[in-house]
Amino acid sequence: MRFIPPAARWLLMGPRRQLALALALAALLPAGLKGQEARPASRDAGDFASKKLPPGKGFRVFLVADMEGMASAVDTHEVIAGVEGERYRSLTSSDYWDRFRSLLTKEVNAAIAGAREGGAGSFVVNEGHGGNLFANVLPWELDPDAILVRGWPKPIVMITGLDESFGTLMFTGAHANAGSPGVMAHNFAFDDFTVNGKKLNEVGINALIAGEMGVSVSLVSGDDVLVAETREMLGSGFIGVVVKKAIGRNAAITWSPARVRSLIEEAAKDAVRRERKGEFAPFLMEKPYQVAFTLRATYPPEYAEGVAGLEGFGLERKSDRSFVLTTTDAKLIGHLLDAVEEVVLK
Amino acid sequence: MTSMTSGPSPGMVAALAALALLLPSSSAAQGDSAGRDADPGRAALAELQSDAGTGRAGKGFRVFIVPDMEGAPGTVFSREVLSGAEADCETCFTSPDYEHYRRLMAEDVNAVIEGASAAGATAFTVNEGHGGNDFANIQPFALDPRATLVRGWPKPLVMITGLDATYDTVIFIGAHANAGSPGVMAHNFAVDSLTVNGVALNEVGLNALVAGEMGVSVSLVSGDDVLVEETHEMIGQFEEVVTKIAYGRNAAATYTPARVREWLRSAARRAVEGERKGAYRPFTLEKPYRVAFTLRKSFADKAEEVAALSRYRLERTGAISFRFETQEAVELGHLMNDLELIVF
Repeated sequence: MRFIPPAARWLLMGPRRQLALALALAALLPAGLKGQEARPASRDAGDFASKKLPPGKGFRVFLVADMEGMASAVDTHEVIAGVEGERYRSLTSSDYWDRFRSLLTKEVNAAIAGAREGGAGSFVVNEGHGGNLFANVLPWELDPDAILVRGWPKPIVMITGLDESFGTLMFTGAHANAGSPGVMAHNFAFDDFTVNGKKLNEVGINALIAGEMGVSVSLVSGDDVLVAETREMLGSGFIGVVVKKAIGRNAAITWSPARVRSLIEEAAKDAVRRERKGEFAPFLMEKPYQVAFTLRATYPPEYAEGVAGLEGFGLERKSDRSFVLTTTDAKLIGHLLDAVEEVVLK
Repeated sequence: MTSMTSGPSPGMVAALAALALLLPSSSAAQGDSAGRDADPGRAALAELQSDAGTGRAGKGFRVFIVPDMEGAPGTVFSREVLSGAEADCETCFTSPDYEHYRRLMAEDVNAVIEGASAAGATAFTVNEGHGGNDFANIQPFALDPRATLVRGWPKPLVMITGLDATYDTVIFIGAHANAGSPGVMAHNFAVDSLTVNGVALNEVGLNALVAGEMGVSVSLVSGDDVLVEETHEMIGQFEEVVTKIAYGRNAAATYTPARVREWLRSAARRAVEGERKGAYRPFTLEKPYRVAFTLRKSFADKAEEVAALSRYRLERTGAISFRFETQEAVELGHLMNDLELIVF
């Protein structure tokens, strides 16, 4: 996809096209393409962060669906749409658009089907993967009973919408921590993220926020590295589904998508049953939380400056890319993740 | 119909002209009576044409449906509701998902038609309320064959071009919340705010006022939670379908399209039944309408041109704020069009 700067595109189009585009932007979607400029400052994350989902019937399952740890995925072009920012523009392929999004949706549907068999009554799926700006699951192929949290920015990124009313939290397609030998391993925008000196991967950070709400993790699926490191992080209290064995950052020995779907369905069924028997405990850590993180070394210096400029988190800068903060509210860590993503996803 | 008592307004004439363009000529519609009898669609068109602008038809129940896309289940990004044909750079503002969402849009409209039909409605006009693909999002072959479709651009009253007093109800689906509200892709034409007699109106509210003046009430509105709540405050009682809960300007917890379709089907049925029992009132405000609006801040440099519009006798109340009085709600629709033409 060849990139033409917006100003040049505007000049290249004829007057009718200019008017047509202007009208489309003005009358219909104006602010959507103007971003920050049209967004009322007073209605930002604060308002959205306090919103709750409507109550659901029966045992409620909250499912976070990521893509790097799903069956078969090994390469960025399978999980990226190309619209996530300048540096992602050339990283997509038809494998993402035509295949892996559908496989992702089927994996999620398998988890829902299993949870339903296990006795769950309502299902919220939150896009945990930043591909297509957190819009990978196909709404028109998703189990009709589910509520899907999609789009970006959203107040607590991967677990936006989670609250105390949920009976359990599940992660599918999760990937291993930054610096680990897992497939497409990373951790949000960080090379390193610790709470009270303990390394947390994406599942771990979200499990901590959920734990503070009294919600425990019952199922985690991903490659062998992810499942092993998460067991160590959270304790062994969840059902792990290993979908592939990492043999490189972009290579794996993988079960087929069909096999993985049936593994996940079975695991989700057990997860709900065991959760209802109280077999899993919320993941908790001692307060106040001493949070320390280092931004990715691959980021340009202005990203670090952007993070240094974030207000409301009590961030203290320790070095060019390293920051610390202290809080007693795990949700604040979730909001920090969103704020950091807003700095680096440009 | 208030506006007819003093003769047709320019807006009415324009609306009728547009309607005439959309429908086959009399001779075409009536030329082959055998063919017409054998083709209910053709007969429905002829009926619509003969009734247009002449007052209540007295037979059948007529539904006017305005589908938009920002409030549809699923959609959160502009690129999901634009085709790319609005610009020369086809990949800049669209996504492969647009094709899916326009299909879902037609299916939502079809569900409304099925529900309304089950309650006895017999005629259906669908007006493209969304400017993606230059107001041509619904693929005609995907639409319920009983419906007539108002599509393309420009069109005189934009979202309700073709509506008149012969309709029994108007339905808005996939609508989005007002400019400045915390709704998904919230906006309101080219303004940051618009009030009539001090009442803030979003796009649904403004169109409801124009419809209300024709004696047509709104019976069903669907969109995100912000849109539904603010529209209830604006225009009162109607059947509602919440499609998604806004979690950001470009983020939402959305119900699945399949579930929303079922809700739309049953809500449309309730809407027609309710309309027949007089459960909803045409949205009216006291005349003359005291209209106040503020241009979007980003269009501040166009304020002089807005001030120069002679048709509305605008009084400037601030750098980008104006007010005027009118006896006719259709003037509001025309004003919105004029503003858009000016700001670009």
